[in-house]
Amino acid sequence: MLYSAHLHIAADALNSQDRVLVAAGTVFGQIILWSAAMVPSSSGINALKNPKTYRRLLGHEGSIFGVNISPKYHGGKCYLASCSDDRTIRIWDISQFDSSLPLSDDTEIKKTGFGHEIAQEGRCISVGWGHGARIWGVQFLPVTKESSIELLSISEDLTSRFWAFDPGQENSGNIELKSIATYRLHSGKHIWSYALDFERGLLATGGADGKIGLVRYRDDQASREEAWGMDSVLTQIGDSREGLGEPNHKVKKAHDAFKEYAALDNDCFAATTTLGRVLTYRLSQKRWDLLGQWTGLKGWSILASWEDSDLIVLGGNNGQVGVLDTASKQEWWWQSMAGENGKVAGVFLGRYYILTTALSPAIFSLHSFKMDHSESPPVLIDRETLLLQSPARAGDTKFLVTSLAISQRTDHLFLGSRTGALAIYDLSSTVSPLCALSHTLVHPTDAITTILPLKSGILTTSRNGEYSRLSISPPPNIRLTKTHALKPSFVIEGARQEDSLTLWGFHGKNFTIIDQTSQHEVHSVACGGAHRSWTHRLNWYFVWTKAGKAHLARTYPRRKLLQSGLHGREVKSIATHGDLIATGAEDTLLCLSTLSSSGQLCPCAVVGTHTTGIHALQFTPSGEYLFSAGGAGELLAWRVRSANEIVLGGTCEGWSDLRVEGFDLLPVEGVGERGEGGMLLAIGYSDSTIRLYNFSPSTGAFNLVMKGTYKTCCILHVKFLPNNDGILVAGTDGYLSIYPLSDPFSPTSPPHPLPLPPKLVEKRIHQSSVKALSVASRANGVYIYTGGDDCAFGITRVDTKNSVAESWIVPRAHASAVTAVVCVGEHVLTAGVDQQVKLWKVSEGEEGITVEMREQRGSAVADISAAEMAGGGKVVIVGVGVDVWEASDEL
Amino acid sequence: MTPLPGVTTLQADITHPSTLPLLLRHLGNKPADLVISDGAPDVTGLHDLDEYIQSQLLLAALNLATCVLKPGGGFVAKIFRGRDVAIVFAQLRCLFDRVTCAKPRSSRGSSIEAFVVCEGYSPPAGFKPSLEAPLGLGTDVKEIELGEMEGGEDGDRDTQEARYIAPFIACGDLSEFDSDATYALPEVDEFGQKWKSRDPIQPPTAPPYKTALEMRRQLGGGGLSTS
Ligand SMILES: C[S@@+](CC[C@H](N)C(=O)[O-])C[C@H]1O[C@@H](n2cnc3c(N)ncnc32)[C@H](O)[C@@H]1O
Repeated sequence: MLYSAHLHIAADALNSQDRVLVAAGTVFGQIILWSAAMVPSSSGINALKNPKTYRRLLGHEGSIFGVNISPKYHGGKCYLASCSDDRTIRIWDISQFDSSLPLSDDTEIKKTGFGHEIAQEGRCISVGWGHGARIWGVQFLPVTKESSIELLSISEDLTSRFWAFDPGQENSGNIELKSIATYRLHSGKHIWSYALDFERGLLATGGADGKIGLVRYRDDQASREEAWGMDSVLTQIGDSREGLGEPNHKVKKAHDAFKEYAALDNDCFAATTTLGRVLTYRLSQKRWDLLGQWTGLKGWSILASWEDSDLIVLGGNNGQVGVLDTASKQEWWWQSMAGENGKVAGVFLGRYYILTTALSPAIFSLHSFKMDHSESPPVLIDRETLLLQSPARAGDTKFLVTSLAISQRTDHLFLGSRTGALAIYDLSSTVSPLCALSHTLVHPTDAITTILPLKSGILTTSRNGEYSRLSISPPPNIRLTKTHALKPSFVIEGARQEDSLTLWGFHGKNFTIIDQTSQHEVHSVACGGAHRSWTHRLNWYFVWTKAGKAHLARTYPRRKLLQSGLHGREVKSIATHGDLIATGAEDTLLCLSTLSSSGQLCPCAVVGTHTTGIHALQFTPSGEYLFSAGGAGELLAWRVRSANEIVLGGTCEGWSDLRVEGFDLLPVEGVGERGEGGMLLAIGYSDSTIRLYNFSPSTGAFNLVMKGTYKTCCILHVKFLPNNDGILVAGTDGYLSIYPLSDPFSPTSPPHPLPLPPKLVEKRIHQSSVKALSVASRANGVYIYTGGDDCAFGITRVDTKNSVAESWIVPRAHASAVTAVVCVGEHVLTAGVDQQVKLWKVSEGEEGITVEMREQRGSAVADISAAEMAGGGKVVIVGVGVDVWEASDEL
Repeated sequence: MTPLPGVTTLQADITHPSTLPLLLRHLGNKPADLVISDGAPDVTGLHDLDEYIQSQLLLAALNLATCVLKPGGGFVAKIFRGRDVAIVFAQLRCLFDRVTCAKPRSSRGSSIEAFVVCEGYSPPAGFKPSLEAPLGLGTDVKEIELGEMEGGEDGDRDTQEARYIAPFIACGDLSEFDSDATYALPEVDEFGQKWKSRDPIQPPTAPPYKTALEMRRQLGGGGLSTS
């Protein structure tokens, strides 16, 4: 069985016919190289004649998923590349393939599995390692340099990689296949497809996530990193003096070292050194310049800049703070804290404000000034200093400032602290020292790294990996409410909100920039990790210190998404509230989307808090809360304001070895301590236990009120029946069971959980798993529609008052498991793994129930797992992908 | 898999033209009562491809079955219950009296796999099994006469393809372990001894990426991270 092939048509020098050269990769790790002559025929379709097998290439330890024959390179060299389940790429030299005799006939081979007996002709000249999963495709690039042959590969591990080897090394018998660039624009699993445009140097990739990514690979790989040792910088600026006034001692100059960096604009950044030098670097001219050297900056300096203003701020070891115009070289210095001569511990900027803090700050100084541009060069005027009382209360840990923002609109000053607190000051007040209007813990308990004033409210990022949007109620009673909070799981250092939200920070050993809105990596620089001095100019460059050297990498936006996507693995669950759609998938992500009137799903927030697949989702009737559950027994409560605003509202206890496949909720009154409304949750687990919890939205607490065991099978569905008629349970055993629910259900949490009462009803409907279930209240009773793994569609009418259930079954309703059942008005829609969507009319007459299939259509979604009604009479079907159907009741 | 006592074990690609003659040679001239196939690929995640490969394995086993089964014989094979499973059922019905789809308790309900059980081998009159021209693996490319296609009547030939939904049967005892459920281990075994987990009788075979994992460990994962 072949998994891959590549054809190459070449003129045969001996005959006047063309030959087609075929490389084919088998499921059992063999590559067969053969050719056949193309003989023209009268019909215009060539016939193939005279096949010859040249090579049977062995070495791969897994199936061959891709093969590629290279173009003819310098010196008539020709190579074959192969990629495999064994996660390697192999290069074979096939330049001389047709000079050898063809191999014997194929059918003589006795062993075609792994463990081949015969090793035949053909030399693997290099093996490339690096992909973390199966490699689906490989392709040679046309040669651009004689000394380097390049290839591209795509993989299940979500990356596309460029590789290079030097064919000149072949004689030394040791060719290294080097990975030269890696791109990751997809999420979930798999890059399935790609296209290359060699002329423009473009690579497009398609993933299982439905995204199409585009990389300007040639430009990206051309702009390499730059790095400088202090020696070379000092030599370049022609400054080799050690300290001020010291004689020229060349031997000593290595003592200086890079200290801090600040980006000035697209082309220039500034740096301070431990010996008090202040330098600038101009990218376009590749030139370092010395602005000066100050004793006050020796051993200790703080550097910050107002981007695009030419101005930098310096904080010294003597308490002096200075503003430097890098263009005119003018400088203005003053004492940062009245009466304090200690070092400036930090400077934080707003335009043009400087907040300086000392090492043990009870008071901060906020310096403000203006630049008078009527003068040439502009001069600093109107300098004022305002004192701020640190918001830390007696007994509190110190408020160590880590970030600052000023909202011109509200005249508010925001300060973020190292332990995740946020303070707000009113700058229009004249009180001195100024006290904070509010002081709130926003990101317990890690540093707030950025505060961005938005059109309404603010956005904060934290080193704990979280970012959040906060709304702020107007004074005097300022209250902060998190309207959105997510944790993309890296150390967030900065953010910019434009049409989309860009976040940057450190992820392992890399500095990474991600587009949070469309969920892709914009750039990644291997810098060694978080603990270092650095500066960053979004879309231009990143500067950092590594092993004593200053490094610079360009971060031009060379990647973008041509099409956004949804989940990168099977969608397992869906919940809807009008046009708001929540989907949960095996990629562990929870996605909120809106449904456009044309039936398009527009992804908004993506939440990655779950640690395993999300198998069940449910909105409260008001849509205010969403619950998600899945592997590791996880069940989370979310407060949802819109498709863009979601905040974790509570976490139920979990069990790492259990799964939740089904749960339901019921709004109840008087759950919390203050007697406010809450939710009763009934959760079914894979070990057959059923637990009922009270959830209090105000505290986010889950209290266990009832617990019992159903059988030994896995529970797949739990539903509260209408009118408090009971709790319906279905599992892998094919039964429907109903437990009574005492009416009204006592809202107070008992000291010990109550046992589950005996079942009211128990009835076998399906031969095995009840895969899908939907409940409808009709004029003559409650109906339960079910889909089974046994291909059947079940209809059950229950009368809980009299503990009776009557069932009808449609066997062979689908060709495979029926995995979705939804009520569409008076009709019932079913869908299954056979990718068929069927609409049934179920009517009740004198002789019982009649079922009639009204319509049947094919769906493009494989492995359908659920379906749900959404706004505007649409049905959303999820599986490997998403389908939206218009379902009118008139059918 | 590890060889079993009393069983002749061969390792070969069942879809390879050299494999069926090899199997026939081992069977001698005795017709068989039953042919079973548990062949399955490592799934890729592309459902269409996985289902296609699975049905190709089934077809290869069926070609063997047609050569060796005695009339009335049986054929059991692993099948993926995906989009076009009904076409495979319909095709099998041409050769067997009864075709059923069975899913044992030991097969996870969440998995797409099941087994097709074909009973009563009775090929249509005139059917000649052949290794040279196996079923479904036509090698001749016929030249199409253009005139034939212009009729337009065959426009949706695809949808007219014969499909058959085989009856489904869940087999195995319902009281057996449920492969989708989670169980707590008992404290003691059937002899009252403290419970000890035993090694599997047949340990999993080494994955094809075993060497890659070792390489990765040596390189310390630097620059190789995927997540
Ligand atoms: C589900 S396992 C069979 C397990 C086996 N019944 C046992 O008890 O150990 C499926 C097997 O099919 C094999 N297989 C896949 N493709 C094949 C092919 N083309 N020819 C032969 N075997 C194949 C795989 O290597 C795998 O070992």
